[in-house]
Amino acid sequence: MNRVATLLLALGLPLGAQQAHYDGFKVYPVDASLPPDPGVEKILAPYRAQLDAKYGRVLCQAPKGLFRGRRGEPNDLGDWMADLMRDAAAKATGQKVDAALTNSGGLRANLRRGPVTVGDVYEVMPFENALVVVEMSGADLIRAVKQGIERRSGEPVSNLKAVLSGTPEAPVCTVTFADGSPILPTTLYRVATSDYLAKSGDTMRALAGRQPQDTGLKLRDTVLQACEALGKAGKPLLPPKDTPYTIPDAFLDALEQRTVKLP
Amino acid sequence: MKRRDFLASLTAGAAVAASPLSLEARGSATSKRLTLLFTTDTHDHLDPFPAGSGRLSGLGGIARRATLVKRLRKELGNVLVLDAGDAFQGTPYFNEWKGKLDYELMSQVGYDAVTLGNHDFDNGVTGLLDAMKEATFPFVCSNLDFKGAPDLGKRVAPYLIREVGGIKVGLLGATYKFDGMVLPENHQGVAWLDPVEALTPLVKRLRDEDKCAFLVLISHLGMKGTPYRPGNLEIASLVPGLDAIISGHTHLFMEEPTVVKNALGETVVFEAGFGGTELGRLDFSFKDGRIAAWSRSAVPNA
Repeated sequence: MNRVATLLLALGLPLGAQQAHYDGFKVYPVDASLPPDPGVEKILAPYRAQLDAKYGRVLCQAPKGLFRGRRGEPNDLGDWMADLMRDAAAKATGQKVDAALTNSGGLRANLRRGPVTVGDVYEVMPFENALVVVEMSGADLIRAVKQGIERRSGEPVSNLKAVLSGTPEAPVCTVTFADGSPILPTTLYRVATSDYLAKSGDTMRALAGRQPQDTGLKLRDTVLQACEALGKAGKPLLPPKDTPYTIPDAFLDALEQRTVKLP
Repeated sequence: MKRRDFLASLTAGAAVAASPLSLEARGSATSKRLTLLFTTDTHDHLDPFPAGSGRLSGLGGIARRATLVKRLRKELGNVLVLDAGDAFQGTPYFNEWKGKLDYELMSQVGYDAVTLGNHDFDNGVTGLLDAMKEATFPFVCSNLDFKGAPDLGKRVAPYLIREVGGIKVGLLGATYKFDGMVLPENHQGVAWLDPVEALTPLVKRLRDEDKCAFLVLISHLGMKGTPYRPGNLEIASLVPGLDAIISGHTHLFMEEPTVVKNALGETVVFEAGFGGTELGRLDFSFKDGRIAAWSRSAVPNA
């Protein structure tokens, strides 16, 4: 009698019951060799036509595309978004906005190379999130950036810079404004983010539970407007030149495993 | 889907399922077989991915998925078609039609059971209920408490029992922790339960009382957990007695399933990527009267 049978007897499970035996697996690509099911296609076609009419409009060109990158790689799309959020929040509230924090998990697709349509922007930003401004102490702002590094190898930010040094076991992390000027722990800063992050914190819990100042703008609308403005000006949508994070390669595995704890 | 078509497909399924059962009843040496077909995190990708989508370019599309599923169901007979959640959110189809179109078309594909992902709550409990009106398949989730949302509770079973080709199959579901993932106003009245605590007694009940020969967990917990919350690999160890875990949430394209050994044998864990670009398949066989070897056989069709 094998080990499992002994165990089943010990547990009082009946011998003689049907036992499952794993025989194997397969993965089928859903590709063009499969003709569309006529019933599904009949239902879907009129909806698709409506979408094409509404979402097919080209806003601007992105000759290099705008990509989120894998963990540890620059998140060009996220950082571009964060810059946009900071600018839009400053314009909407008429007050200076010191920084922006957003979450890479909120960006659901890359912007492919070539024309950017309304539908492409919806795929990047499908959520109905609002652009808001929260007040945070410098200490909380630094903590939020560090939490983003611990949880996601760095979340998209605007006007901030983080440099990691030391070892994964004994890390040193310096967070400053993008120009290198210090973030003062007790000073209150105005930070652009999404209403989702202001409430939940997601990967940056130091952000959570804040009373946000509403800008009246949907996050996605700011992106649509920015792309449209670029298109009208005949300018391409290009990735940002700088990345906010300096992370030595020695940290990448530990960050992937989420074992780095920043002091 | 028209009611008539739905009933017709049920009848057709029953007819196919009957033949291997009768073979068994005559004492044939042929063992019973069951195939799981599954998707996850389709995220409103009802059309194939456009060119420029990297390795996903040109793949997917629910009309093709329906063709494949129907073909395999006809060919194999004893099939359960499952989805591990997050059908919602990802393309303008969701912004316009709020998931109703997803569930209408998934009904056409012929899903047997679907669990809920965090994004299925993106339009709140009322939004989810509204979309569910279009679903002719059942929902299963074992680690949610619907006391404060009884209408949703009526639509989501803690477990399902299905008789497929003479095999009594128990289906369980699990979803990802709400905290920090689903806004409180979007899951009003629904409480998240620890999956290990919720699943353990149900597995025992389905095995001991309901005499299920096969248990599948359809889980949106993600493949790998953290020290603070278990993922599906951890669930496979912590909740022995599951034969298969159909994983979702992590958008993981896997070369092959992971087989996790545990106190009662082994659990096969597999996740079928994202966006409906692939359909996963796991095959099992069953023998009466003696315990089949638990060792893993050669993979015939990788």
